[in-house]
Amino acid sequence: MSATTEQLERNFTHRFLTSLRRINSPDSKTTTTHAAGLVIRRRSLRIKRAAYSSMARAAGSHRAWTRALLSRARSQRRRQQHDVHPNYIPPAQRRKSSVKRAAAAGREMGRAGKLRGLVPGGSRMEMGQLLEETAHYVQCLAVQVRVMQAVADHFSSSSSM
Amino acid sequence: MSSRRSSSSRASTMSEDEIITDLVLKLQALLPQLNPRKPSRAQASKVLKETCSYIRKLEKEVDDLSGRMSQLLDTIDPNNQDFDLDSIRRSLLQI
Repeated sequence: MSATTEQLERNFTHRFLTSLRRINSPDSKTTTTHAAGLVIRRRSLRIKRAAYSSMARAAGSHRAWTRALLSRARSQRRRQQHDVHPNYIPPAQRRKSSVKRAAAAGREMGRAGKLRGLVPGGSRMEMGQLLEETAHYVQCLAVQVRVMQAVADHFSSSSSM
Repeated sequence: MSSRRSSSSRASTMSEDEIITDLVLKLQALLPQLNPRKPSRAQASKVLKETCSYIRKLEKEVDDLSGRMSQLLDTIDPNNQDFDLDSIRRSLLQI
């Protein structure tokens, strides 16, 4: 593993564990009026978001995908706080972003359309940037999965003691 | 590969195909586990498709691992014992 990947892995692991500690803290555990299954599902979502945010921060803001991901997370949080559905986009914003996306995608949609949908911020990138960002995003995702696997294995082994 | 046209500026005479193929080669070089064969138009499309599948696979793993972790968190002590960075790092080195 290269030195930068190692550093990324360490940085991500540290941030992710910090988030997990916060998610799992006694005061954040919901009341017993919620069914256990719901608690687990909700926490699973928080864990997933924490994983992506931790990775985006660990990877650094010089990458377009990290900025796009964190900005998406911010607006989702804001909408949640106001009891608005996280996927809701207000009409004015919706119009602007869809025009931009259509214009960009119209140029290259045929071959990279699906990819643009998968890489955060991909719909706004021109082809060269898209492919570079994709490569970086994939490398970071692989690190994220590897670390999450190790963390889950660690929890499962300590719980069986 | 499609032939170059006039001798004017390089960028404007490269067809979109060539640009895409050049850049996909770059992607291939950065992701050696995908498809290390000779470059061609068909290969470029294949690489794009495989990249999409790979991203989806990784994102699904993140989903599954988050679910598994959520269930496991019920069973462990919220105090720092189980969030020991060093032992997790040790497990990481074994993967």
